[in-house]
Amino acid sequence: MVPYSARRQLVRRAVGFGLWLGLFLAAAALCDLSPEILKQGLGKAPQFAREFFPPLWAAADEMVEPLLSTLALASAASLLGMLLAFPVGLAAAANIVPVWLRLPVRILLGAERALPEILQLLFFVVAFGLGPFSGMCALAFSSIGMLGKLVGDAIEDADDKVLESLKATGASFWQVIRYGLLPQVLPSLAANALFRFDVNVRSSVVLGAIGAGGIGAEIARSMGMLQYNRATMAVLGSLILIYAAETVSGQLRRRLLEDGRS
Amino acid sequence: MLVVDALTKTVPGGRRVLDGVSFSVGAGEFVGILGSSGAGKSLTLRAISGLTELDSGEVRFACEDGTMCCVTRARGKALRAARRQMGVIFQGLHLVKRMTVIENVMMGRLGFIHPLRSWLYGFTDAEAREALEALDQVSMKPLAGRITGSLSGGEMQRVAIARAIFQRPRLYLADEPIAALDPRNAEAILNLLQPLSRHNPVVSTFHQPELTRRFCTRVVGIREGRVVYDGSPELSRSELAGIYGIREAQAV
Amino acid sequence: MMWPSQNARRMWATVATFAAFLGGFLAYLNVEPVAVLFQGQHLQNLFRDVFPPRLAVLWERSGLWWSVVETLAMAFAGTTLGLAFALPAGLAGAANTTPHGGLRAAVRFQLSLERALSSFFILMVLLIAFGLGPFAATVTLALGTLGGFGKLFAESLERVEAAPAEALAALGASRSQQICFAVLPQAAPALITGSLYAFDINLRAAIALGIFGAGGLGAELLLAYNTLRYHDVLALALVSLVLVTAVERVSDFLRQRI
Ligand SMILES: Nc1ncnc2c1ncn2[C@@H]1O[C@H](COP(=O)(O)OP(=O)(O)OP(=O)(O)O)[C@@H](O)[C@H]1O
Ligand SMILES: [Mg+2]
Repeated sequence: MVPYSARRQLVRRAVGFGLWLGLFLAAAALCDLSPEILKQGLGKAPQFAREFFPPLWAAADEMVEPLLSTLALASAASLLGMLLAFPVGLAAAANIVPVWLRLPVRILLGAERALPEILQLLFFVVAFGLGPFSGMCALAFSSIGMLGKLVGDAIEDADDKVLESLKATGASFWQVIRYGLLPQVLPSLAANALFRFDVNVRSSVVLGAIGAGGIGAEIARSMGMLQYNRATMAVLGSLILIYAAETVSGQLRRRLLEDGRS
Repeated sequence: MLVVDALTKTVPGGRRVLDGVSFSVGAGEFVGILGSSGAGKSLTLRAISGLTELDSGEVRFACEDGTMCCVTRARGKALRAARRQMGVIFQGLHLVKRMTVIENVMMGRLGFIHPLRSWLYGFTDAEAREALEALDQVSMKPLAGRITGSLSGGEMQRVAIARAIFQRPRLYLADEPIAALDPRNAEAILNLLQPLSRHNPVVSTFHQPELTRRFCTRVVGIREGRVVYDGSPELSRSELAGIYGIREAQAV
Repeated sequence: MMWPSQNARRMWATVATFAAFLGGFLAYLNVEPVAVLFQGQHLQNLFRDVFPPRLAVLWERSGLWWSVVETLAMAFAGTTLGLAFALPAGLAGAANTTPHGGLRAAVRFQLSLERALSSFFILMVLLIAFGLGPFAATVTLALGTLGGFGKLFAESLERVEAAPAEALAALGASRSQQICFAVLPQAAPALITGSLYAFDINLRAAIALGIFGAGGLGAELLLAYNTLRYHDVLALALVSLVLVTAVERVSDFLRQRI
């Protein structure tokens, strides 16, 4: 028999497209995704352009301090996350700790990754009040959520032979970890932490708007006071910060990976 | 039928990889191109189907309407019109591995299909039946519904030939169609190509002078981007040594 | 290994540098972690105020399940709308499928701009333009999806083997036919995996944007939070957790199928 049918091809493509379109229209209806709203919103575009542009250049020097504070927040959270990710990763590795420890740690790490950072921030604000410390906790915890899992996976995949031979020389548990595991895991942990730094800079801008201070708070405040051109200035600052962080983290990661290869 | 006229190409770095390659192919010919690795065989074939930018030289090809069109200078529609008259048989990696065998065969006729139709549903049932016949000619009919990536190297090579047969071209171009095949499969493939060449000429590169001697009607020898031999497939030892740039005693 | 003492010294130097940097950042931010953590009884307060979750909220608040549906709808509409633009953007941004090199550069720049613009700023602007509600959030998600996955799609397309498309070119297929029959079928698994991943991400983002005022489950969370019903907040956080995990499981399952 001919294992091909033009009609089946046509039907398959049509059903796939129809299904997609149907689901999209249903979702769009639920989200009030109607052309009228779109038209009405787009009608405001010229007025927006006038209110948001040009940026309020005079406010440029007021942005430096919040930008630095956002950068410090993201950096501290990334460093803290990286430092704590190793012990947490140890506790999440099947070849290091017993199941009764690994399972809850893994579940916590999974929950950590599943919950949006803003939601986590809300809880930290309940405990520590508004301010950079709560923001740092939220970012550090979600960094641990990602890095801890990656470290745990890396340790589980690590070369067992190295560990066995170290144990055979009579090394203690901590020596095995220090000389057998750490060197194997550290390069990838550093690379992932650099990636996480990039993510954290972006997130710290967002968290700032909810109460972690920094440039995010500056944007939110300007919008709230209807000083839209000041908000544009702040956004411009955050764009530069994000772009710089992305570039630096990318460069460092590339150098790290090249070092690892040579 | 096909005229290859003084092709030259210099690659970045200044090396001449094609240095005035000329030959022509007439009806009913099975031309084998011989030459050592890096001599410029693949490049010549790519130039014939217009896949390589040349410094100078021309490839002329007898088109559907009987006029000679210049592949080298053709662009867009004209180039595609010339290309759909040439069936290319590259190695197996030129097939789309995630699609079925029969779909890969039917792609041979994409040049004749309106783009809009190919986006809507692809091919017709009549084309599928014809493709099945082409697969039958290379004894691959039972595997028509398989995913191409799961085939062996020799089987993929047959699918590539079936695609070219299905295309119904006026000229076949094959680049090492029997590389990486065992001797029995290699002969089987050549036994497929030889009868094809009686109706439409075949130009194919090889690394086996003993096989071109048995199957080809003519041999073109290329060395360092130059044609150093063009004639009967019954090569003498010294002629063979000249193509491969070795001393006579070493030639088989 | 040959010079253990030197090795150890290097390690301690690294650790000291790290600690110094961390301390510097913390000092700059004016926070003293030890003091905050152990003096203010903050953690005890947190546990008292938040635990246990008040699961009764799940059936007491009638609008809750509707808000879950709304969040899912936002995530889905944002994903599909974004992907509908991300695929053409990816095709235009990939070297092997772009109609023109200049267009490729322009598209890539545009996509990087969308990635750099903070989604919450986009949301704020759109909220002013389109009013409170899921519309602004959906468009925000779509823009984020376009920026992130347009780039990802372009990279997946560029990773595809070039030989099959070239073979089709050699037999007279047009550019669009090469894309349809050689490039897209090869890139399909990566594109589908990416699309499922986009939905995962957007579900999380839809909850987060809700907290900024875009409706759905996030709005329920914010309401409970602002009215100091912290036990409800925890219950709603658990609902988000279950929702996100369930969707992740489903998309893992689908990914395995292809
Ligand atoms: N795009 C290119 N850039 C630079 N050099 C090229 C390019 N294409 C081909 N070459 C060079 O041109 C020469 C001829 O290549 P070609 O592929 O035609 O060799 P060949 O005769 O087919 O060899 P083989 O028998 O190994 O397939 C080689 O030295 C190759 O390195
Ligand atoms: Mg070759």
